[in-house]
Amino acid sequence: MPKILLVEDNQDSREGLTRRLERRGYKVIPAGDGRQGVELARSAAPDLILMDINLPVLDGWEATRQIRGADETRGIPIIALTAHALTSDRQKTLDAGCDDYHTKPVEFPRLLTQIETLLKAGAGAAAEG
Amino acid sequence: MTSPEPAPEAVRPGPVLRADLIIANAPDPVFVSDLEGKILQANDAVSELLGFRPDEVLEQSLSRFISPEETREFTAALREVVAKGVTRNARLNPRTATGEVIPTTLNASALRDPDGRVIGAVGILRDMRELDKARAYAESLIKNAPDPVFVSDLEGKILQTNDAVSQLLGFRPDEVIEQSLSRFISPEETREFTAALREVVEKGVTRDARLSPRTATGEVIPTTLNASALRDPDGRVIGAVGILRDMRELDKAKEAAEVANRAKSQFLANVSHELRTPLNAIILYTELLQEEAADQHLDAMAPDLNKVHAAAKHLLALINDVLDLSKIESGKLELHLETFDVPAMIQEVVTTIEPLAERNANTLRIECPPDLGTIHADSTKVRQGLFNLLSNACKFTERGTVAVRVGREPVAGTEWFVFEVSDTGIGIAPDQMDRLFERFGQGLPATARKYGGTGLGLAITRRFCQLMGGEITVNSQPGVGSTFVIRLPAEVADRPPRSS
Repeated sequence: MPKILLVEDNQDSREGLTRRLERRGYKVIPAGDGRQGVELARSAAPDLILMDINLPVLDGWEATRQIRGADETRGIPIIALTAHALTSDRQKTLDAGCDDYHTKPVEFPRLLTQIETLLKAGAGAAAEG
Repeated sequence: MTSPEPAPEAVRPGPVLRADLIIANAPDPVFVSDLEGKILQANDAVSELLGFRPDEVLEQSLSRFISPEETREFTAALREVVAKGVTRNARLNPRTATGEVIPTTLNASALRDPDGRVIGAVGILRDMRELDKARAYAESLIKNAPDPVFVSDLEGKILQTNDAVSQLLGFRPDEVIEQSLSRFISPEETREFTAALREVVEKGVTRDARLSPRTATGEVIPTTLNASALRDPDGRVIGAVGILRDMRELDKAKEAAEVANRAKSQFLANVSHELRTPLNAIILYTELLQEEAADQHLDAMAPDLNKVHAAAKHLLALINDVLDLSKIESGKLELHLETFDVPAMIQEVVTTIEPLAERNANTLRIECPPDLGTIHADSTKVRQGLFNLLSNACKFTERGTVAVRVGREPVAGTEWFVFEVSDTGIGIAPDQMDRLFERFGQGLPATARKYGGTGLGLAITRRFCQLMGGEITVNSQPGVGSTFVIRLPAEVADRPPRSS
């Protein structure tokens, strides 16, 4: 069962998305701010991270940079959950080291496709390496 | 002696000029004096002007009616008549029977005896009261005008200024008058002022020249100059009457308005962002309920959940449009340029729009050659623009055809993409065309109620097109259909966001 770290400060969004992901067979590790996200990325070793950008304590950009900066978490795929189509934000997210982005509100079928694509690519890379 | 006067026609061959009659009937005050200033003849107009009977005037010295200083002036005028045969514009202020002093000018010419010797003068007085009043009025107009007014000659030398000029520049009038205006402005502006004077000569007027005169304290004051021609009695332009307008307040107000407008846009952006967080939760949990209802076969709940979901999505679209527009208006909209395949993009947009087309039983027709190639543009904005046009077409058409035609078109060495979206729908009334691309320009309130939508889509689409150096145009016939055309350069040039 693939593990997804969901970093999202809004409790409703976090719980709702957790339930929807669990219904699809994922195990979800919730985190409420950027620092928790960075810590759980290390301690829980998720297969993928969904990272909100507007986060307290540590914002999504900085959290992503720290996750990318540490050896044990460097390879975890990250999908940024961004606010409505600010193109500069989108570019910034990719520049910060995210593998993909998803504009909120979540379009669940599309998000699932993005998750599956990255997990498959990760599995392929792991098999090769 | 008692015989009746002979009929004039009988003895005179034609009209004879009789000087005394000419004088008597002249409308202006005319008098004849000897060289000492004794009045020999005066007409009714003189009596009228002075309020004395003719017999109170005749045989009197003119000096009886004027002051001692003016008597000297009158004597000088008589000397000039003797010497030159004429004198012009001597100022006399005779006192009337009621004691009023009347400003007049005197023009006089020589009265000669048959041998040509000057024996007196014929004087014509001109009542200057009205003219003096008019002149004083004109001067007071300038003097008391709340705006700075000056009169200059054609070289830019200042001939007259008013109090407002002194106030504005901090110079006394005598420090300004007879100075060239160029003393108070920069060399570049002197050129501009010279050009303005030329325009005054050519067109009689110049408007909104920008001058920034330097005050006595060295402050530079932004002003605009409107000037009109000053003409001599023959209509020749001899100078200019300029009105300066202090633009400091206006510039300040304009700046304040811009700041306020940016603050409004920022506020809108913040509000729409805050509104979206709870809305995201509403959409998320509605979708969760929809999934669970489907799992538990609670089919009766589905229509209600679908309505909640549709309303929430509509609200989200509204908020996103408002956010887009506030970004446009605050100049924060950036272009994110990339090169992408046009047919692939069209296919994606069409896939998204298909459910909308089906809802009104419309046929979707696509004409986009698969080898059309790539465009360098902001793909999100191109998609959003096309999506707006297509969703409008689907919304306003029932059991009709919605067609997308895409092609390339070289214009003057530049390659353009042309995206045409046409429908066979309700069309647009001619009187609604003007407002079509304005915010909330949706035809009629009834239209908005029936068809929904934010009324912002076309305004946003147009701004997107303009930002990318393109344009959007429309053709429509009510009851027949509408065709919207977006033209974009194949290579959109990057441009920095408007900074403030």
